[in-house]
This record gives sequence, structure tokens and C-alpha cells, in this order.
Amino acid sequence: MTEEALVQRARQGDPDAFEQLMRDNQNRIYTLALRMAGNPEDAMDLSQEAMIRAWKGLKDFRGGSSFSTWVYRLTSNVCLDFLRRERRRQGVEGGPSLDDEEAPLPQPADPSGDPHALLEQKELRQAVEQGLGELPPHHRQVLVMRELSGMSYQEIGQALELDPGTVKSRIARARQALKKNLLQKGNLFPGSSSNPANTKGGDPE
Amino acid sequence: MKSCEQYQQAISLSLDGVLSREEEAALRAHLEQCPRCRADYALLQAASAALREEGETPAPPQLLPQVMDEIRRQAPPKVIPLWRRPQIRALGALAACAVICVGLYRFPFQPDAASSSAGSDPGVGVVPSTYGVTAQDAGISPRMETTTQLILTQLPQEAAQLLPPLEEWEGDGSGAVWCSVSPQQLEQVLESLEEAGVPVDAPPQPWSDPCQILFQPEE
Repeated sequence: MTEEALVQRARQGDPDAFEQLMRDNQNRIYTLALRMAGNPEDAMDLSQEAMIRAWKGLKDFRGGSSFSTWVYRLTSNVCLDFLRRERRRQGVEGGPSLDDEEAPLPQPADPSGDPHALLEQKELRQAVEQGLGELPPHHRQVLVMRELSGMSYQEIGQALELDPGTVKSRIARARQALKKNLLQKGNLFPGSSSNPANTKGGDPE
Repeated sequence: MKSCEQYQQAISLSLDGVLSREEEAALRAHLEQCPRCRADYALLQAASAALREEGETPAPPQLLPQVMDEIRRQAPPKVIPLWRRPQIRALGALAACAVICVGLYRFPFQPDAASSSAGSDPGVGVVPSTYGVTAQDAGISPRMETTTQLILTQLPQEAAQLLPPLEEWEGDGSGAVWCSVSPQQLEQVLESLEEAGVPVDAPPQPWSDPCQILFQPEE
């Protein structure tokens, strides 16, 4: 059955149709929640909240975008609201501001290992995933959508209600932030334009 | 000439394969000459590849069941009453239309009977050969042989009193109107017509329930 047909039924109160819609979207929803919340427990809560809000808000879905896009936008808002609440709970020092794209970088990880080891696939992936989790939420979100979920620029624009130009620049800035984060972790790429090792002195303890 | 800063966005767009051929060539030309941007590109390419390989995290198996439990707990499924369902309504409309066709199938044609009415009047119960209305002519289709129908061209008062007022009958705009009656009512109407001296042939048994009376007044 097509997404449109399922949505029609779900709007009439058919829970089975809604369940199928959620089955089609749950991995994408959970992936975003997990990367935004940073832990599986909160990710579960946020995913459930997003899905239940989707059920309750079905009558408001007018079909302007695809249903998947609409649900994803809902999930994104749930996650961003959660992070704002967490920030308020932890106080001003809690973490980077949601909108602050030039937030100070986190303290560099202890590069006690061989710098070249980071180029090993496993270590690189771990470093990248950790770096992703340390990015400000708006950067993190857009890289989750682009790199983890493989969403196109158009899909990202529709989900976040951004024009194509803004999508391009936000992804570019997110990648720059990720690059800076990775370079903080060690002398990965000597000579790189953002390598702080070129300006810092002394070995870390 | 762009600065390295300006090539950062080009690098990003290149990783997503959305640069035009000219822009890609310009970027390649710059990368050949600029070791820093080359290093940036390599790092971002590796990071992008690592993330793409990681992909999405499958939702835990209990996510959906928990959500559906909560939804079903909060709102029992709405059961649309049978008569409101669009399929049933469509069938109802179809049956109403189809009834017209049925009588034309089931009602036997009668030779011109002697009648106390004016000569030009073929009388009740007689379907003149010029009557010739088929379901398609009347704009009604498809044909369904399910409802017993009595076609009248005259409706004497005694019979009319047994039935709903004519203005309440359904019509299709062509002048023909019809109403649904029980078999018992049809029997009474036929008796009343006979008592009024109007010759009429009862439709052949078995009758449906309900039956239909179609009144097509002569011009």
C-alpha cells in the first residue's frame, strides 16, 4: 500500500496503518534521536514521544510534504526541545548553544596513542562518531541527515524548512566544525589548514 | 581567485557530488596547488566515508510495540458505522439506480387494454410500445435484476393515498419518480388499482423486499 493510502487510513483512526507508517520510518527517527540525545535511553523516550505526537497530530498533516518528511521534522523538533531543556537543567556551562556555530571546541582528547593509528578504519570511525556527538546540535543534526541517513539536500531542506542555499552552507560549516574537532584529537594531518598543532606547543600530559 | 576559506564549501559540495563540472574542475585545480586544502579534503572524505558506512542505527525492537500499546490505550480504534462507510453508501446509490432497470426487465408488456380513460390514454399498467425507455436512455446503469418494480403511467387517488406524497419520491429529472414500498404495500396498491377499475398486471412472483413503484406520467 502506498504511503498516501496508509496516511489516509491512519487519519481515519486506523492504528494498523499508522503502525506500518512508523515501521517504515522508525530507523531514521531512532538514528536522529540517538545521535542528538547521545544515549539509547533518552533516544527511546524521544522516539516514542515523536511517534505519539505524530499520531495525535495526523489531522494537522495536510500533505504539503511527504509524510516521512513531516514525521522527521517532528522528531527533529522533539530532539532540539530536549536539548534545550537539558542545557537549561545543566546551567549555562552545560554545553554549546544550539545556534552557536562558532562554539569553543571541546578539550582535545588525550592523543596518547600513535597519531597514525587514528587513520586505522576503526579508530577513525570512533573518532568521527565521537566528534559528531560533540558538535553543536544544528551541525550534528544536518550531518546525521546527510551522512547517516543519506538524505538528499532537497529532503533536508524540506525537513528543516530551509532553502537550498542554506542547506549547502550549513552542511559545509558542519563539516568544517567536524574537521576542527577531529584535528584536535591528534596530529592526524600535519599541514592541514586547521591543525592547531601548528600553533600549540608542548606535548599533552 | 578564491581563498582557501571559500573552497571549504566547494569541498563539501564535492563530497556530495553536487558540483557542476566547471566547479569541480576549479576545485581540482586548486587542490593540486594547495596542500592544506588537499589535506582538508582527504580528512573530510575519510570522515564522510566512515559515517556513511556506519549508516542508520536500527530502532530497538520494543520501540514500535511500546508506541502502539500507548496509542491503543489512549484511543480505541474508531469503527465507522456500517451505513456511513463509503462502500456501503455507494452500493445503496447503485441499488437505487438499478431498480429502474429491473422493472423494465421484469414487468411484462401488455397489449392495449380497454380503459375508461380517454382514448389516447393507454391506461395504467400498460407500457405503450413508444414507451421504450431503457435504463441507458434514462441515464441509469448498470442493470441489476434484484428489485421488483411496478411501472405506472397513472396514479389514481385511492392508490396514491397508500403511498408517500409524490413530492417525496425520488426522481432523476426526466419526469419519472419512484419510491420504495414493501411487498405488502405493493399488494395493496395493486388491489386499489383494480378496485379503481384500472387494469394492471402484477409483477411476477417472487417479489423482492422492498419493491419499487415507478410513476412515469404521460405528457
